[in-house]
Amino acid sequence: MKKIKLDIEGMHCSSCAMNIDFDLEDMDGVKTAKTSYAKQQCEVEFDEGKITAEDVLKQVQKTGYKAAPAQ
Amino acid sequence: MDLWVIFITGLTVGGLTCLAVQGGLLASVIAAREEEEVEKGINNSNPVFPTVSFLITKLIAYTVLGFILGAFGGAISINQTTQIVMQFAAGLYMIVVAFNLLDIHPIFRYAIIQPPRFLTRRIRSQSKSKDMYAPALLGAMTIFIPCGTTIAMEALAISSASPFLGAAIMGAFVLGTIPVFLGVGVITSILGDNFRTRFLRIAAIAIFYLGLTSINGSLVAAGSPVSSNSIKEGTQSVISIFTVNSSNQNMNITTTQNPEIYVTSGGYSPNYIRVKKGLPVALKLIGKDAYSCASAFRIPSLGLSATLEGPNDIKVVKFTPQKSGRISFSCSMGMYTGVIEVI
Repeated sequence: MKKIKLDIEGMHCSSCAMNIDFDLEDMDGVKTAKTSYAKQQCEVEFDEGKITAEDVLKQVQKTGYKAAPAQ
Repeated sequence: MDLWVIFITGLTVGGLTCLAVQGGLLASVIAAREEEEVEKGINNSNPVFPTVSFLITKLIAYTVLGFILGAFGGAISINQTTQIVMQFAAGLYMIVVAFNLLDIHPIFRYAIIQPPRFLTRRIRSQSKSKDMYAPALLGAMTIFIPCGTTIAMEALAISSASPFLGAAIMGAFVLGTIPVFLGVGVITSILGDNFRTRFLRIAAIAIFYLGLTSINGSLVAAGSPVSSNSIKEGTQSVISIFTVNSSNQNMNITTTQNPEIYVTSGGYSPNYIRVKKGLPVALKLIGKDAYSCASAFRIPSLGLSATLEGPNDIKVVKFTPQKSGRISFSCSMGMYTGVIEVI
């Protein structure tokens, strides 16, 4: 299991955070996704054997937000 | 009550933020059912039925919630100070929500309460249910995933301290969000980001206005010297020094120790009465379909209050004014006001 932190751009309310979590947790290989609207960050725990960090980033973009690994 | 402003808030921001997450859930529950029906080979459904049942239960759930919140507000505001503080806090929260929508500073994001994970998970799994009643149940469950704006409306419902007013506030808000679910969402997605930003701005202004009204109301109800009414009155009296005919509007007011005021949903009529000092006053409040907070009559400076038991109830308020001057009265939320002139 690997844990990564992402900076998210483009969320305008807590509903957006919920959407990101829903879509990420639907991915096969993602264990948990915790997005904080206040911090504009997302913590994802995933199985490296199934997906990559790149896949996670792509999924967030697909949901409709800009994402980059947290600084 | 500015139910129209609340409706517009629902129409603009509710449409966007609610649709962002709830629209997705609704789409998912519709898809789950269609899948089930395809398996059974009876795919004759259309998405109208689940959408409508989702929206109807959502409206009912929120109206009931508003009723409960209003009743809760009424229960904890046994004394007037609590209510005034609550109303002030609700107003402040609404302004913070508006600032967040306008993206004034990232700090305001922390005011937006995010629903707990176990609730969002539970709702997500509900959206995957193939049950016939799943869309309806999902609609009702959306009360557990409120966005910032919804919480601001809930705060307003609590501060109304009346179950009926609370129900009306939440009902008007959710009613406003409905058109977007019925297809307007498609238009907003075509019009793009520019339109979305403008929509959020309209909503922010509406919420800001509601917040200010709420704070001003609490100041009026508290009998504070600083409120929009006192400022207006102050300017009027300054103007009246320069204009000769200014007192004409009050010329036909009779001075009586037994004044009658009609209480309607829209306020007090007349809202200017004249009494003599040193003599007992029996002020009769006559309810005429008073379904608003106007039924909760207050004279902050005298510490007097009288609340009509029903929309057509009659109450008498007795007091003896000791000095001449102007005494303000208002409803419990400070929305409807009037003046007793003591001569």
